Amino acid sequence: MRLFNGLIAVVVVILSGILLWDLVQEKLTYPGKKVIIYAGMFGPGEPMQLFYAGPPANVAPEHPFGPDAVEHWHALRTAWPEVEAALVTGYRECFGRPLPPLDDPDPQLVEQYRGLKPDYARRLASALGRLDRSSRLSLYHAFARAHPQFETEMILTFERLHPAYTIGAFEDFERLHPDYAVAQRWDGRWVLSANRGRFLTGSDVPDLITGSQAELRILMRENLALALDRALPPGRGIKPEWVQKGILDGEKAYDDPDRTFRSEFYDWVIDRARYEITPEDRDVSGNPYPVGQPVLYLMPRMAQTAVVYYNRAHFKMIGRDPDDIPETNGEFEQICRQVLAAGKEPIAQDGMTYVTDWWGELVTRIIGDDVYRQSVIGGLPRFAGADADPRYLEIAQRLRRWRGENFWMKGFSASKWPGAQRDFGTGRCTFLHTGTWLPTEIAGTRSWDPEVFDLGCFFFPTVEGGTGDPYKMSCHVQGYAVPRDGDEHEGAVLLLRYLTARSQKPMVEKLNYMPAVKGVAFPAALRDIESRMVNASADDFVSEGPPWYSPKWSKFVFTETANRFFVIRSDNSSPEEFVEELERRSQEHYRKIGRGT
Amino acid sequence: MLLAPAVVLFVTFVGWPALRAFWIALHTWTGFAPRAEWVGLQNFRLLFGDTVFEQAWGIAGVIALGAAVGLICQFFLPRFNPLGLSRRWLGRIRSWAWMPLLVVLAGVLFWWLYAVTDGDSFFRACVKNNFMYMVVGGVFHFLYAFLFAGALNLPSLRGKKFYRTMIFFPSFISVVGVAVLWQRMYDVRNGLLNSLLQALSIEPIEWLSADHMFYAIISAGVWAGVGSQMILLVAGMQRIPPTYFEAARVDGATERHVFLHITLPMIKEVIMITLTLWVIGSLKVFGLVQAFAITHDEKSSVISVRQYELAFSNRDNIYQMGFATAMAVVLLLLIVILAMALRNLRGRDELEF
Repeated sequence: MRLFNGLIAVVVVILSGILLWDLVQEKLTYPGKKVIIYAGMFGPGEPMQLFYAGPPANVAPEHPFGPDAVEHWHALRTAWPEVEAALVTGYRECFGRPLPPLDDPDPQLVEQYRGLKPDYARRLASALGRLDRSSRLSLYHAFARAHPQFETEMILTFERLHPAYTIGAFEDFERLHPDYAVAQRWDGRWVLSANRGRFLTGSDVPDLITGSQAELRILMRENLALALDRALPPGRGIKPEWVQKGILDGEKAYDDPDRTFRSEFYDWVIDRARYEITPEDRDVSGNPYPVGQPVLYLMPRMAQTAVVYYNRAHFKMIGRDPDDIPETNGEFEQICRQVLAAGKEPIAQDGMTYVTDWWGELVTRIIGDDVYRQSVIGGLPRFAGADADPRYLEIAQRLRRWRGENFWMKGFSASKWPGAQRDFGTGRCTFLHTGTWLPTEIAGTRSWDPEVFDLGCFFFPTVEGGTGDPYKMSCHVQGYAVPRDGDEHEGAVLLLRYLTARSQKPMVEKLNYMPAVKGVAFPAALRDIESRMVNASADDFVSEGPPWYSPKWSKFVFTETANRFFVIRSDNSSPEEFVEELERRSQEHYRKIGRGT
Repeated sequence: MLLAPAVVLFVTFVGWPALRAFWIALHTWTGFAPRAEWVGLQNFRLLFGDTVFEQAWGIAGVIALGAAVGLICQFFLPRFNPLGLSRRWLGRIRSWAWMPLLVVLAGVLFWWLYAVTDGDSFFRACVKNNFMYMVVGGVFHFLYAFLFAGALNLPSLRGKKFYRTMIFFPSFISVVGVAVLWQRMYDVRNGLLNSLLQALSIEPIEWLSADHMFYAIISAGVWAGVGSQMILLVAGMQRIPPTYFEAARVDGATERHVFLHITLPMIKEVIMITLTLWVIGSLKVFGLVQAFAITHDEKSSVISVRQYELAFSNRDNIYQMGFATAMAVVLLLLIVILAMALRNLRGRDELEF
């Protein structure tokens, strides 16, 4: 019995110790500091590209630290003799052969490497050629701010992690604001899901959380995030300026006290990042904001739009000026046929990923976003039947015709993401329809030989005779939300201002993302669309689409109908069957779950 | 007193969450805030459709009939014996004779639910896929497991440890690793399988297309899991005293006779345990299916994957924790029913040797 009691006592002590550590670890880890908990996600497609796509075919990357860029290896070795052993060993381990000899490395290059700080040189030597995460992180961390001349090369070499920028930015922030410490949590792609338990229990809630506007909307619906452009009710951690003017107008730009925080962003980006309060939000979740009023809940970090990427090398191959982008669908189809005749495959596609985007684009151009919305939420016109708009069937027939003409790459229905991106980036296909994150995602797997692959993009072309929205663009915003139950609102907003000013600009620029903040150059791959995006207003964009205004219809009706019957993926049904099935399922959905859901 | 810690842990981490799951299934809940909206049986109605609820009395009648048969055969007849049956017959009725009727009733019930349900067709497809995984995957699992176990039990086979290790080795690999490995093999352009087909001048197959994906997953699962079944069967076979085999061989029995008439009956208990574990595992299968593709359609999704998508997926942003929990409740009931049925099939008599 004594032994038993003793065992129980030991278990209780251990469990109490764990609990105590959980409660005080931040105070012990960051003594005397105000801790800002940052819940971030990794960049899209970060390790998954190589993981799923396998080694790239026929790709000879031209960057300083691949196996053939011997002059860089030797320059570093000459500049830092103490790291020679690590370099030689590292080369052999990574590439399976000895470092080729070189008698006289370029003196200019040697001088550049001599300018490295000793700690960075050592970290560089130990991380070169290695693809494991900790080595790359260590490398990027070392280079994040001190050596911009190598930044781009490093990014492209090791398929950069944008957390590396953020980590460097956090350390810089902590140096500038020694009262604060940033506790970083890298929660993978689905940051919100990873933090769900914390929101539910109200314990250890992050002070800043990243995500897309669609993902983070649930925080606003459940009254779990602070509104960023509204006067806030007084409370713990709420500054008087926020009570009067809200965060966006109450705070100043980080680097310019004469400007408001709002002025850092494009107006259309702010407009896109708003959420309209519904009666349910107010009644069920206790949301304090008026019904029907859009509220900003997401501080934008970057924006994404959907474009058709194309391989300029293929345009040259078929005798077309690479800058001569198709303005109409007729031209687009003609190019597809020419590409086919030249022995290439027109459209890269994965079987289950983004395949329905073609439907969405054609609907926008031919029928119009507003009309589509009415059909989706249960109004008129319908997809099939007496009240149908026949153009829905025409769109399905057009897509079936494209499939019949082999516009989509062979075997696409069995291709898994990111197979299509890999095939596109290695010059197999001419077109790929996806978001503006693509240049970053394929940096590690694409061909850098301009004769094989040269990236360009354009917005989906107009459709002859279409009466929809011929020039409207889509836009999705990613950014930060400030959870209501976080403990350090003041620090979180300060960090937000700092990240917007100091980190987002170089990061977005270097990582080829489309910026949400002013003063950032568009990535070279997206220059074709820059002027339209920069000068855009709210009227130039379509709505977020059914996933935004009817998420359940989008999931349970459209996606499931498209998976079973979609005219691109399946030969098992006709275009008529597709629109009829879409209509039948829609009616069933309205009956069981409701319209507009 | 000594059981108290285990009981406390069980109640805290198993019992209470299970009871709570039943409660959550009666609500609409996103899982982000404590507020949940009571909807009663609405989630189950969405799963099974209105027709099932309208015919609930009939369905309840079938269930009640099955329960009555079980009670009569298990308790009433043996205790009161109104028909004056012999002890031998009472024993047979109690142990197995009532099972065929129960199986028929269960079949009628499942057919009825499947035929008349006009609820969530995706869920129905997932249930079908789970059963396909159980049956098709099970056939191949046990076929190969018996084959390998029988071979490893042969006295004349050399290198048994090597073969056992090689066959069991895939079980060490995580399901995500298995999925990635097989995805590469199935790749339509650069995969090993299509490369072999092309070498034989055969047209490549789209292994991961919608029509073939599920069977591709089953094949990968068989490769990864057959070692575990084999090990259990080998362990069971090695418990059998060799005297039985020697006696049989002396009497002129062939290896086939020995396997069918000595080995199999003597490892019946092990087979039933393995079968029970397989049935439960195949109904709960998640990791392998989820890792094979980012999204699944009706032809390749299973109940657990569907639940996960609805409850946790940020991709669709619908967060239907209540509806997904209702699916979990149905899955639990399915598992309990099948596990109990298998337990009764096992019978009460244990073979001792």
